[in-house]
Amino acid sequence: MKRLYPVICFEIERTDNEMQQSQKKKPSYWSKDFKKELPFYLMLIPAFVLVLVYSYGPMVGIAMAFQDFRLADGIFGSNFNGLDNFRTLFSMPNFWPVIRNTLIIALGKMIGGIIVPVGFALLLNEIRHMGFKKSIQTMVYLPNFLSWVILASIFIDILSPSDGVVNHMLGMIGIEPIFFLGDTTWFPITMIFTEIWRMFGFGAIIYLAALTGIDPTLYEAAQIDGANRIKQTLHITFPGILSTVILMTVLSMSGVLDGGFDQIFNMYNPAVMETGDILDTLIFRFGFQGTPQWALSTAANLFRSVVSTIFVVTSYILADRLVGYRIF
Amino acid sequence: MKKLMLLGCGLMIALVLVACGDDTAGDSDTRVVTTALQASAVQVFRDDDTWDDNLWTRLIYDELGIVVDVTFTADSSTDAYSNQMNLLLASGDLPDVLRFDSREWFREAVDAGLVMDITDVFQEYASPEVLAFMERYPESFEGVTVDGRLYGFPFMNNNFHEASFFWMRDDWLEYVGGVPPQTLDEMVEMAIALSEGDPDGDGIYGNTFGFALQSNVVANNFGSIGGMLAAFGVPNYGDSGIFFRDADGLVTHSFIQPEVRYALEILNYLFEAGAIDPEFIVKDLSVLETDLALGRIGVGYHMNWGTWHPFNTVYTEDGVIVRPYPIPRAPGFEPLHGTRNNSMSEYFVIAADAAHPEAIIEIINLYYEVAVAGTQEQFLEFWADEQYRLSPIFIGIPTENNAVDIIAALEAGSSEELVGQPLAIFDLVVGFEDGSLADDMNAFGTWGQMSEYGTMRLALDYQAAGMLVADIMAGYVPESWLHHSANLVSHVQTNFVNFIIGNRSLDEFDDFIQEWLNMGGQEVLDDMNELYPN
Repeated sequence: MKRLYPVICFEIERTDNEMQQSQKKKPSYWSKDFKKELPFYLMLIPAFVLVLVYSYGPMVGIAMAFQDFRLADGIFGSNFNGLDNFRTLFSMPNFWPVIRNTLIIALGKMIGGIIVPVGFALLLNEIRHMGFKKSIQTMVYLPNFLSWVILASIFIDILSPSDGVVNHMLGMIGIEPIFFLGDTTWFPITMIFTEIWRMFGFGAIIYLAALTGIDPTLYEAAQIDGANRIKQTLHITFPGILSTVILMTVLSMSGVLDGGFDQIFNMYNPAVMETGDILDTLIFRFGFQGTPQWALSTAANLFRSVVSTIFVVTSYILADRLVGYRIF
Repeated sequence: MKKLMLLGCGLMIALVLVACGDDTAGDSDTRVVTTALQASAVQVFRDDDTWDDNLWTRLIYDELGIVVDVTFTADSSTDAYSNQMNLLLASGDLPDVLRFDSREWFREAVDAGLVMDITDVFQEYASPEVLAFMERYPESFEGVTVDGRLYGFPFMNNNFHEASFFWMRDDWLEYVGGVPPQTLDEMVEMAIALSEGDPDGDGIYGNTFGFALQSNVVANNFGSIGGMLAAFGVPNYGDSGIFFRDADGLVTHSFIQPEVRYALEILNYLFEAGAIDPEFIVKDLSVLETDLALGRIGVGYHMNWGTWHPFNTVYTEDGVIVRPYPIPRAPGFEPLHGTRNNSMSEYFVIAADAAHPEAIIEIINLYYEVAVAGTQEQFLEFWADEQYRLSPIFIGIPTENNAVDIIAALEAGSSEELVGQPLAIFDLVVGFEDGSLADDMNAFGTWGQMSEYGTMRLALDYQAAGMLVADIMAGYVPESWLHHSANLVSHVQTNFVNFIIGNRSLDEFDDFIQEWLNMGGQEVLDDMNELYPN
């Protein structure tokens, strides 16, 4: 959903102005407007309750991260053991490699997830034939709607070193077959590429939207001044969408510990655990596979949330500084 | 006109209300039992039967007036079912009756008060025949008893048959000379010959693999290395391994035996030699089974029920039998097969908040009458073709328990001594051998277990030779195992694969053992020694 922010962002800027106006007439705001808007606030209550019950209620479970949790005693009966779970977690031999893997895969996806859609949007923008443009756009954004459960088995097939189509093509130009999903070096790279392949079409929509916002008179003026298409792209198009690009980059920073659970979980295997195991799969294994260790799983998840929160706050500040984008 | 319509509406509403009233009245009489079913690829449905509406749900409704409501089904051949079970444990929202096989789960659920103490209700409602099982299989009931109270209805276990067997396609055996390998050396030689040669006869050399391996190499299923470990005297069963006593009488564990290294060395050799699919790591069981059905793989270790699945696919596709043999021996080692403790394999539990526990016991009684002591026709209708799995609760008497009687009858060529289930099995085996049931998958599956070529015969031989070692861990599970097992299992799976494909050098096998001990394994062993003193 975060890819839709720029659209929202214009509205927010507008409401910013309105807010400033309304701040001026603050004294009367509560007395008069509140009464007028009361029905709307009442209509908000069900949504508010739902969020409270389903989003905030379960947060009580965070207590498990600081407990020697036993199912028999429950959250309210189990003994608190301070930071023991975190100590266990951080001292586990595979914890820091998992963090490293998560960072590598997530950062790779973030960087590629900016460059590829931007490049694609710029290229697509140059196409004049509308029908062709539309069909390309539709085709590349379809994979976004396929679940990783399905894509994983497709990729296992086409990336197979013995009879996969990718290695067959590599073979034709004289490259030895590569075991993309079974090689510790290639696995993270494959994860990054396949994820980018899946989402770049969808990501490009935002940039295409930003491109339509560029004033066409600028191009006309540039043409009169004798700028060719490349010059136009460099000096008009690119600066025109730069703020959107920066905004998307900053916003994606909150995903720094999000390696993409569905993707990795459906494609990883014992041979690539060393470079392919990410925080989310580790949390899942703690919580659900074999004998569940809820306390440890919760501790790992809390750690992830705390780190993500730090990045969300940082990205919020950066977004404000760099492009003047604010939510609150 | 308007008035008329209003009247009509009013009438309709009244009718609906009356109908609703009837419904609720009916509900108070009918007892509803909710359940979860283990879905599986082998499940066959008769006619238009479904998980929710099948011959068992209809029988239970007709005979006992109990409505069976299936709350969910999940695949038990993958992690789906056990993940779901862990979710239930966390939410506490259990269906009235469910089947599972995890000791850890059982203990946690009982401790958390999610499972009903059925001591009294079982004594009161179970028929004398059903109660008699408590005396025939005391170990099994022991496993679901906590502090003298009964918390579950167990499978009636006699786990002698949980050993490993070496399976080969008949035509592939023919291709390498018709004599199954006696030693691992012969097996390696044969596996390489099969992968370099053309056993499938398609004219292409080298498009086959001589040894089946799935991504979970220590699964108690097809494509496991369990049989090879057993050959080196390392008893094991499934990915949790088993606990047994070493020469000093102390508790030790399957996967940390130094001999495991020899097996991994052979596997690494097979992998390097191209006898194992280099892509096995991305192939889970279902993909491996596809390769088997396509004739790319024809040799591997499996448990005793191979002819039920997946070798039945080879039989239907190519008409070729995949046959079990004793595991190839490692010279200088006495094979040891691990089995689970008789006190614990699968079990049914009733949720603590079940409204009608007596209804569930009545279903057990009905099951006994129909599928255990019933007529031949009833048996074939309600038990055969995996139909018994559709009953929300059933008496898990593994057919293997009757193997001795059935094999004796087959050798004598007379079924006079047999009744009920054993008799039906006798007829299936005879029917398969004389060809009258050659197309019957029940007959083929049964034949692979019970005939003179079957796995039961071999398992009984293993037993007679003293090769079976039962897991020491029975009803009591140390807390440390609950904490560490998931990590330890994953450590074993990951490292074994890396040893096999050469990502990790086998010179580091001792380090692997040390890591296992440091990750909590030592703590578990200490606790086991305390819980189960010699």
